[in-house]
Formats: sequence, C-alpha cells, structure tokens
Amino acid sequence: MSLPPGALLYALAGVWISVIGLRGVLAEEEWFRRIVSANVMGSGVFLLLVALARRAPDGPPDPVPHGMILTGLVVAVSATALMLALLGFLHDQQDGEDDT
Amino acid sequence: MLYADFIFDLILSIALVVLGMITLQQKTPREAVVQLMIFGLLVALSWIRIDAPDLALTEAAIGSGVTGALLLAALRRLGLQQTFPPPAPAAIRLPVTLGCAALGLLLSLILIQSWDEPAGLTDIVYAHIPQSGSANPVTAVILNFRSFDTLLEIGVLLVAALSVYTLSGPAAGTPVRPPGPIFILYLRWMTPIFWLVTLYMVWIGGRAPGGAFQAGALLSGLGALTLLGPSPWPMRLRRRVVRWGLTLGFGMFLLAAAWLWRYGNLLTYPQDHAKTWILIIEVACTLSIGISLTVMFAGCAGWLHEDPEAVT
Repeated sequence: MSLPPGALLYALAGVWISVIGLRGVLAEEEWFRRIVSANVMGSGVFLLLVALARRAPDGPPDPVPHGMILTGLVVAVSATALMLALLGFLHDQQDGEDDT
Repeated sequence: MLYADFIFDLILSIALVVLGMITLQQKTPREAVVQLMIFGLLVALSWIRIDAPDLALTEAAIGSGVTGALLLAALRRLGLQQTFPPPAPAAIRLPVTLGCAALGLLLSLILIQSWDEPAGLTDIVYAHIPQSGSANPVTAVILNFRSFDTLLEIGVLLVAALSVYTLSGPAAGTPVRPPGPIFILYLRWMTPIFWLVTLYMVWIGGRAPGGAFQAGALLSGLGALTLLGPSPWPMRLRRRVVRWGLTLGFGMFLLAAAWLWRYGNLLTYPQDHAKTWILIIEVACTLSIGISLTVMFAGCAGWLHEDPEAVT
C-alpha cells in the first residue's frame, strides 16, 4: 500500500479546521469569539485551497488557487477589521445607553 | 526519507486541527488571540511543505501578524479583559456540532475519492505566460488573466477601509505608553529596510515569487510600527495622505481599465506593454494595500480620529 500524499493530509486538515471554525461561528454567542472563529474557518479554507493546488504529484503547483489565496488573505483581514470596527461601534453605542 | 516526510506531514496536519480546536476553547479573549497567531504561523509552515513559500510569507505577515495586531488593538479599545461569558446551552450547541461533523465527514469523503482526478488550470496558465507580461505565474494570474477579479478585490479593500475609517469613533483608545529608546532606534533602522524590501518585492514579482499583495502586507507592518512610534506625523498627515493612499490602487486600476477600453476590452493589455501596465498597477496597489491595512489597524485601536477637530 502506498502512502497518501502529504497534500491530501493537509487538505483533510483544512476541511476539519474550517468545520471547527464554522461550528464556532454558529454555536458561540460572544461576538469576539465569533470573529476569532471566522478567522480559523478562513485559515482552514485557505489551507484546503493551497493543498488542492498541489494535487498533481510533480510539476509546478496550480497558480490559479495561489492567486485566489493571495488576494483572499488581504480581503479576509479587511473583513476582520470591518467586523472589529462594527463591534467597536456597537460597544460605544451600548456605553452611551448605559450613561443615560 | 519518504517515511520521514509522511510522518512530518501527518504530525503537522493533526497538530493544526488540534490547535484550531484549542484556539476556540480559550477562556479569555487575549489567550484566544495569541493562540490564533500561533495557529497562523503553523499554517504558514504547512504551506512551505506544499510548495507555496510566498503564500506562507503572506500568511505569516497578514494571517498571523496583522490579524493578531488588529484583534489585540480591538481588545484594548473594547476593554474586553474578562473571561468569556458562559457558552450557549447544549440544546443549541449539540445540533450545530453534529451538523458540522456530518459536513466535515462528507467533505473528507469527497476529497479522498476525487483526489486523483486530473483538474486545474496549470497547463493553460503556463502555456500563456509568454504573452502575459510576467514570468511569475501567480502575478500573471492575478494581474492579467484574472485582473478583473483583482480589480474588484482592491475595491472590496477600499470599501472595508473606508467603513473602518467612518465607523471608528473619536479618541476611544487611551494613548499607549511612550516608546522606549530601543524601539525608537529599531524603528529608525527598520524603516528604510522595510521600504527597500517592499520595493524589491514588487519588482521581483515580475519573475519570481513576490508582488503587490506580499509587498503591501510588509508595508502595513511598517505602518503599524510607525503608529506605535514616537512621531505624530502619521496622525497629522492622515487626512490627505490617507485619502489619496486609500483610493490610489483602485483609482489606478480603474484608470487603466478605462484607458485600455479604447483598444477593445476592459483590462486586456497590449502585449508589448503588458509588463509596464502590470508594474504601474502593482505599485499603486502596494501603496494602497499598505495604507488600507494601516488605517484598519489605527481604526481598530481607536487612534484614527485622535483630535476632535479631525472628525468631520
């Protein structure tokens, strides 16, 4: 029996990491924790994509998923920043209500 | 040798899943963020194993570094130092957990079954590289074959940065402790080095791993460091530099698209000048990505509108 390729192991890890993150996003109630979960989920999806780019055992990896991940990483971090800014806004609003 | 590789990959992939779980089990927000950063670095390590070293660099800089900085800055601003509230009741968590486990099993089975099926666009991309104006296949994909996608992604970045800019209220963050002499010296030495490496990354992106997104990530690191430094200039200069800097990438991209429209299609570069077009767009996008991420960091830390006069 031949050993499974390393990329397949990482692809499976990517699937389970994104599933764990998805569970966190759906099941947690605290907003900050949800944002962290969304980041874990995103990392899992990226890991899966990088591994899928390496499906052919030899030759160069597929550059199309690589391009998607490169732009996706920047978009993911800006989504995190937007979520945090919205959370901060919500926080300030609630503080204002507490004062009155 | 083959066995050693396999064992390493097996241990690392299991460690990644376990670390992901641990990250979401932490009791306090600060621990969760630190754990997430460690997790991001290990993800980057695994990408080196599957032949994506430039992506690993970007993941270490953005996925672990910038994201961690954003989350820590936001924690400070929100004052979330206490432990997390108790989790949701089991009646909610159990069905969600079971559903997610089923999804994971299904995806794993599909992945194992379809792994050997030939797919992907590697051959098509490599066949067209000579016409693309970039010897680096990833740059060719991002800025030529799929440049329309990238244009919209830079647009998403602009919208997100503007939203953070608008949402962050005046002076919620308390000023940080003044930087020590070692940090000031470090910043003075590192600033030119950061710029040098950034420019090199943009330039080398034409034929080797590198390009606007990696360079922009590096630049945002310098931006965050400068915000923590002694000089108030990033705050003073922000209105003009920041507004121009945020729009530069998207603006140049749109101008290029409009200009090239005259020759036929949107963003189809004339073959002889493709390299020049790509380089111009890449430099503009690098500056914009760096400034956007810096603005987001400042916004999440509550430092964007420090003096009330600036809030208009």
